[in-house]
Amino acid sequence: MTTKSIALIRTSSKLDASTLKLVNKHLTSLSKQNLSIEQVVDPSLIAGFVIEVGGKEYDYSIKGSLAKLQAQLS
Amino acid sequence: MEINLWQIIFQAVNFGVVLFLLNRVLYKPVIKMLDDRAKKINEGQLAAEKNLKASAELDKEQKAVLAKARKEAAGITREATAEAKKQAEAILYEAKQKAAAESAQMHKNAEESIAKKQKEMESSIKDLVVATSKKMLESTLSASDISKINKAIAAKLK
Repeated sequence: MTTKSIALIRTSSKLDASTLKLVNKHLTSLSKQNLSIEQVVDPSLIAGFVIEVGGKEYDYSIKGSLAKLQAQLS
Repeated sequence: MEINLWQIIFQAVNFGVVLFLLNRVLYKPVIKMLDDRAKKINEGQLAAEKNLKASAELDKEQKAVLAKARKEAAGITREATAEAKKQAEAILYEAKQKAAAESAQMHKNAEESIAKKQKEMESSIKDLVVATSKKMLESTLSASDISKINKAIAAKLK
């Protein structure tokens, strides 16, 4: 029996099926394996999402973008 | 008129005695007194001339001493004035240097303070811009907008 790796996606609101499909495709190409996706809603992200997979975090949220912008301005 | 020989002789002798007595009692002392007086006057004149000469010498000497003293005083005054001027210039130079240093330090402090305040202000403005953007996005984005954004981000993933 093989266990699928889990990708945790934190989103500002639950992703619709088409968006989830695009994300899944991306994650498959990224990890070279099928992943089980688990969604967690986090409204503080404003929009966008954060993917946690294989101990790494990929931030595509507006909150993250604003944080990067603030860091660049400082 | 008869000429009395005895009377002539008597008169002659009388004249001779009177002449002798006058010469003895009057003329000689008077002449001696006149000589003494003349001598005293002469001595007095000599002494006066000597005194006058001494006075002139003294006057000359006094003038020379006075001139020398004046010259020395002028020299001392000149030196003192020059020294005072030199000291005043040194004090003025030092004061100017000190003022310039203080001014430069104040200028530097002011510039540093302005730079610090500017930096603080810039930081505050940046924080404010980010916070405002965040608030604005939170309040204006609808569920539909968020969905569109999520889809757009997902589409860009490679």
